[in-house]
Amino acid sequence: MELSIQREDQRNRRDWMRGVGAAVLGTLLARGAGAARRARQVVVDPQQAMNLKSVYVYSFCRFVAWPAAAFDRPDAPLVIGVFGDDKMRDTLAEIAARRQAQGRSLEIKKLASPDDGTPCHLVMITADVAADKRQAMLKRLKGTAVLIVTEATGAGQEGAHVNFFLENATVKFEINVPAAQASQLRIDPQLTALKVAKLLGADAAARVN
Amino acid sequence: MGAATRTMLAWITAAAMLVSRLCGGAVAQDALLDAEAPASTAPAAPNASDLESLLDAADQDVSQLSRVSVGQAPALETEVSTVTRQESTVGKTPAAVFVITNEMIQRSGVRNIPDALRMAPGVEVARVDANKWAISIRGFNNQFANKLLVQIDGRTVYTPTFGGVFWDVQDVLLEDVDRIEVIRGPGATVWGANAVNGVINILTKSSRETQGMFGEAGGGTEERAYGSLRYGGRISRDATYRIWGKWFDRDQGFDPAGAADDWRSGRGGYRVDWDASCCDLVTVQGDAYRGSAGGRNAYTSLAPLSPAPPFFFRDVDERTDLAGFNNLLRWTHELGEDSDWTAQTYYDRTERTLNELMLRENRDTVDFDFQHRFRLAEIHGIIWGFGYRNTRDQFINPADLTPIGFLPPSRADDLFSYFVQDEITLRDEFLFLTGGAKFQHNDYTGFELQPTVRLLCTPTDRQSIWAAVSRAVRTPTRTDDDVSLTLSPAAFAPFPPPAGPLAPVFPRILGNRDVDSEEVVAYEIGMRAQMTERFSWDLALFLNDYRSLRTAVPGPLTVDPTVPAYYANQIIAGTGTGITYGFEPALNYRATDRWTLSGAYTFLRMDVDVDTENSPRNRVYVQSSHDLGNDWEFDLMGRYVDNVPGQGVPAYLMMDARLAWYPTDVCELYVVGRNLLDSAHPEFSGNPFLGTMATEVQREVYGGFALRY
Repeated sequence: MELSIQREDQRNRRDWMRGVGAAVLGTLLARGAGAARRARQVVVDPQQAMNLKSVYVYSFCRFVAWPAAAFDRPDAPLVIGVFGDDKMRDTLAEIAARRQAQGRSLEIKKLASPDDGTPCHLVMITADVAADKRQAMLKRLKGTAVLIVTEATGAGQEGAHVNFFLENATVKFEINVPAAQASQLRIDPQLTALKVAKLLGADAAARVN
Repeated sequence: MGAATRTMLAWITAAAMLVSRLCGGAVAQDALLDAEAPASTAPAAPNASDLESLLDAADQDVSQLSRVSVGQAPALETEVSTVTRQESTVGKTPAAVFVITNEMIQRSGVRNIPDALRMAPGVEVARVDANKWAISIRGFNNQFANKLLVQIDGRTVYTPTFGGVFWDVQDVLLEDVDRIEVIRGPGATVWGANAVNGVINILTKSSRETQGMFGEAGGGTEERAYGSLRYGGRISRDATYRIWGKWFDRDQGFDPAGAADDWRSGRGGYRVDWDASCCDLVTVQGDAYRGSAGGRNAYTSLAPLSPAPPFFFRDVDERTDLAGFNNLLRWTHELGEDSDWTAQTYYDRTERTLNELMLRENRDTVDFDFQHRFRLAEIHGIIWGFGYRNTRDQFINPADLTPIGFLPPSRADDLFSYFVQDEITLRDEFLFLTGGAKFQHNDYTGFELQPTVRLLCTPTDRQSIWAAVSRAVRTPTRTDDDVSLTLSPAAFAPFPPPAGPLAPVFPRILGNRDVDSEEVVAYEIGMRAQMTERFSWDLALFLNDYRSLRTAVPGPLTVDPTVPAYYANQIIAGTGTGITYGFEPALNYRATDRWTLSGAYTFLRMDVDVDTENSPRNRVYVQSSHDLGNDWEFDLMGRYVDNVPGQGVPAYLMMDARLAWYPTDVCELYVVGRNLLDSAHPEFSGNPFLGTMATEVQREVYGGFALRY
């Protein structure tokens, strides 16, 4: 009688320890759904980040091929519309004064609202724009030959062609490959091959050429 | 080996293998990312502050842009709000300020606020025993140091009983601390009396930033066990909350004759932050605690306890019961750009019971504070405000023979204050002149004025120089005014004279209602610079001129024939004067992207006729923070503290270390070793007033885990 009770105790203890072991293991291996591991706090200089993003926008102007119908004349300017932050617009205007892209001069225009129909080749929606306004603009420009650049979490999935994000004081961006294809925009491999470019889309592994 | 043990080992081995696989994967991925970078012969990455150099790099080879870092000059841009009661940065603050960030607290592995304060230059932290500390800034340190203003989220935590802080009841969930702002010097005359030598402001994060679950548990040789839990959630689109709880049990310190200063405490709290409208922010927070702290005391007894010496005092293992709670409401309303007002009110209750001494202190505090800031004529940034505080206490000692008492045993005090400060932009982005004053009316000394003048020069956004002259006062406390403290007899005299049997002569310290506030005029100058992306430094120099410092002058000898005993009365007075001066450099060097070194040195000289060298002349602190791979952190901290002649404490050199591992996104495992170089060392001696006996700080190791979902 005593012996069987002992064995039963041992079995119970074993089961209990198995349970605890499984719980501990489960906790250790669990990955929080998007939960931030306490990230090393790197403080980002906003002016520097804006400078770099603006130079990337300039690079997009150089390395994206628009369909021929997008330009009236061979020397028509490449129009960049900025919806949102004026500081970004000023930085882009500085670049427009100093550089050209693909043999065309750069023109910076301010977009007042999501319905502003000023014809643009590239639209930059800055981070301070509210989500609903951004989505309204994305919806209006969907499928048109306008390269949409954003800097909001998740905007790449919403349909923006290029979406900036920050990782540890480095400016990176997502490229929505299917959206670019749908808008008849060809993005040069020099951009898609960049270390900081993250490709989104059904066949993200395939390069757009 | 039993079957259960075998199963356990199998689980542990499987867990270790799985976890190392995951880690290994992560490390390999990181290595690949690094390998993509061009070889060492490539030119340096362009500087993102210079648009032209970025454009040139982009024209040459667009892949150069991917090597550009947009990290900031962290030193001068660190947020500070205590000096001017509004959000500012270190670089724009004309005061000796040091910010202890949440990351610094986490990396150092400290488990309480006094240990976290050791990282700041200029702050003297000396542990008296396992639950009592002597903390001060720029001198005058002792367990009842009274020249420092300490606040937690805007709630003042110094006690009007003696003007200092009971550190055994100040505790927050360190995980949720946003930053601790340490200001040396009367840098915050906007906050009022007691900010004589400095201000320490502990700010916790908004509940918006502490969403999700946090849990931790651990234990060790001195930290017997501890655990914390926090949950943050959303009430609506605009309101968030968090509730939290923590508990710990700490072992006693070391004394050759045995120690009894173990300490345990449990605390819980909540915080709600509500974006009531586009321009209104309301915060409600509070916490409650209960704890028990031990200690060894030598209490003076007014009646002889034994026929053999020592007749009149007893060694007691005291047990102090601690309890209290507080609630705070703060409402900020934005009126426009650079213009807003804030109203704040809180209620604080503390209860302290010394069981062996049979003395109990209850204190209720109600405070109301209002401030309004706005811009006038473009160059004036004005902030003004007023406040009211009522504090009521009750000292209960049923046993008539306790050596300490307050007369009256219960007192309510009102404090009215108003302040105004103007920051004048003498030259845009270059020169700023700040002038301000705090006016106070208190029940001890009436009207007090604390003015300040500061000048700030910012030649570039990476450099700043400042200078300040300020006057600050320390208003009297219950101890200064109303105390009756009897110390053990120094001599014996015949009673009745000239030939009666010997009766003890007790020294007795008596409060004085006419005593003035202590006063300081502080002259300060400082400079700070972010020399390169990686290196920043900060230097502050000061000279403090003190007047009306607390002394005790001999009074009349009184007799109590019923005991019988003589009392050699010492009346508290304010006749001390003196000068203190010193300098405090600090530097921070980010040697590589994964390794940061920081250090601080404090030099202090005191030429004061009342304080018997209770502060060390030299102190050094260095810290090395290393990120090993993607998942490991290693921190090493070293401290040197010069000897404290007035306390008989020799110089000591100490080292702490922390090793942490993040096996997954949500889990952290760590082990911390403190005071590694010596098995035990003293930092301060006990105080003679309550006969507290100090214990030594022991070498300790503790480890734990933390989960963040």
